[in-house]
Amino acid sequence: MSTQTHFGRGTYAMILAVLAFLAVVVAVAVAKKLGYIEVLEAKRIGAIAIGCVLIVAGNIAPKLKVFSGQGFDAARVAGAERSTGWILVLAGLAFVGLWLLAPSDDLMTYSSLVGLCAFGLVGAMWARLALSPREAALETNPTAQAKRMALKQILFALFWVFAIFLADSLWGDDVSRWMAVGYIIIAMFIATPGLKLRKRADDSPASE
Amino acid sequence: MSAVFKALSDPTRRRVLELLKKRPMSAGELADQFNVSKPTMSAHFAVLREAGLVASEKHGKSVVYELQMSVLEDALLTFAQAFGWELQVGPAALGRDGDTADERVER
Repeated sequence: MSTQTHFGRGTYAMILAVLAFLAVVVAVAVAKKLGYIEVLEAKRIGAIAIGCVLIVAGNIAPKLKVFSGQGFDAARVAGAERSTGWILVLAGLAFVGLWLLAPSDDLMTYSSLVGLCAFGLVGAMWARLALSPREAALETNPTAQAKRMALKQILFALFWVFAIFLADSLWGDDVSRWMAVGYIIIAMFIATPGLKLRKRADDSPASE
Repeated sequence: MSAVFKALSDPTRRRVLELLKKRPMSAGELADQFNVSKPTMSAHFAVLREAGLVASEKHGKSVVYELQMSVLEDALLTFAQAFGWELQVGPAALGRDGDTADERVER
């Protein structure tokens, strides 16, 4: 079986989004340190950047088939893939909208709830699909799998950011600091299969 | 992005994308839904592949197409469907049978 796929634009968009996000975070940190912007403004800009990453990640999620449902009913998988993208993009837009327009009271709580609800919906949809009968899985393109894994890590990081936002607004700094440590530990476990897939993709003759 | 706009400007290609929203389909299954020749369908598939809107996989002798659209492309497709969006072609661009240059090349 041979596979022809077009992932170029999606991958570039993902890399650009991550680089733009990092540039914004560094610029905001420097501006805050130099006293050009207030703490709330810095928070708003950072949160809007996070929302933009969610929009870009949600936009390309159906294209990369990030939650590959291979072996399950093709029609349901196609629907779930499209819904995943739309839910994440709409949640990203709502998140950005909140940070742009809403007053500062309870902004962290409501915006993080928007993000967590979106991930909850997506998780419930795929969990329901995973409980359906599975057919024989087809061989997958390892290059595409490595890209999916990269996007999964970005989405997981976003999920964790929303969880930290919520924990920070409900229980304060101490809990959110421990959650940040927890993220680093869990990310190491998640990154391991990602690196293996990357190596497989590099070794594969089908790699780009 | 212009390849995406070109792909979405044709009603047949938009119908192909709508069919693929339901499930992945083989080239034969898709061609059966339209009253056009197989070479013309192949040209439509090529345009969709070029735009990165579909991916194809060979399963034995048949080629299976599946949707590969981002949310933005999906929204553009919905917009194009809703407003009957088509490439504007003048009389000079049409052949004797009223076909477009694009279609004449495909034959």
